[in-house]
Amino acid sequence: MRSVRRLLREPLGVFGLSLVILVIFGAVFADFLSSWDPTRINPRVRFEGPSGEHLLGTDQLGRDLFARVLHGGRIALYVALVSTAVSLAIGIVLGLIAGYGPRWLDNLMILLFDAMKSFPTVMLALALVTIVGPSLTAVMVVVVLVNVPGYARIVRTQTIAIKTSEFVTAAQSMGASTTRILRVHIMPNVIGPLVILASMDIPVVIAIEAGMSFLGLGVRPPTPSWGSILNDGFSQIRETPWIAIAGGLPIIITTLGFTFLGETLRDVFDPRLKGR
Amino acid sequence: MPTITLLGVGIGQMLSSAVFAEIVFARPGVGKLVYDAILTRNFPVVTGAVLVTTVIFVLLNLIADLIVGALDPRVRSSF
Repeated sequence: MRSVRRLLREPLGVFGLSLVILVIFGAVFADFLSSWDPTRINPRVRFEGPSGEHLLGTDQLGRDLFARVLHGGRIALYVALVSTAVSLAIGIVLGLIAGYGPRWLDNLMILLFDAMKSFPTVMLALALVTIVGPSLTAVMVVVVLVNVPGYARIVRTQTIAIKTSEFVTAAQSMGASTTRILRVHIMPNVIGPLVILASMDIPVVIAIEAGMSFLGLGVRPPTPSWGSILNDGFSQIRETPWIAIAGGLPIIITTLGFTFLGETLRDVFDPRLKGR
Repeated sequence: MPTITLLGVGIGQMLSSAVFAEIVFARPGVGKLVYDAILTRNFPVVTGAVLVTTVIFVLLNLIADLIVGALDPRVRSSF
């Protein structure tokens, strides 16, 4: 509770938190905030500017952009939260195994992590999409593949540092099983900094999803995504700039909000890390 | 000192971000090549381009680490 109050004292944290809440609110209540169907095509009103009826205007097929932006937020948050949660879960387990297991297993897993890290993110995404075809699942798999080594490395380092401490030795001498030591004694000490790191990774994930959708390699066309809205508007940016703005602005707001929130969380929970 | 290590990773990640810049501004580059190859399902080209960028990325990191080693004797012993 005290850390929440400290978070609310930081102006940057409040700003980030309110942006994040705004985005989540928009995504959750998308159906109530806009009565338009985000995929309904209406050629008679294509390329209309913002008006009372269409708050953000319409795109080249006459679809309401406000509804598309709100529903695109669902996709972005869905990808960000699911893939971050999955990579956290896998990363923690692999990191614990690498840190606590025998030496050869540790070396093998470090080798694998380094191999994963040696790909530039977007290149790996492009390669995977070529193999399995463009889909949201492919984007999420790439994000998990890219994030897991980073999380696992941190968990591994922490585990090795804690492994030889007295309370772990005490637990071992009392006959606790390996899984119990890892779950009850080591994991709680490792998980804190990881959650903050994960919250700072969410904007990166959203940017990757938007980027892949912008290239037409993320979600399939009728489904709205911020990246695909950006792509729709990008070719006519001189004549109808509001389409590109409708796609780009939510990306900026979301990444800004999560970054501010993540940085403030980091400062609040761990003052030592200030100004890394 | 950690700045140099980060710089290596940063430049490498910029390689992949260049894909977007190349497509938006229609510059002919590796990113555009990969993108066109994916759209036409040209697998060998994609494989080759990904290999090339990955090798460049790894080499950049190696160079960054070597520079750090040259500047900081403490790191050198771990090689």
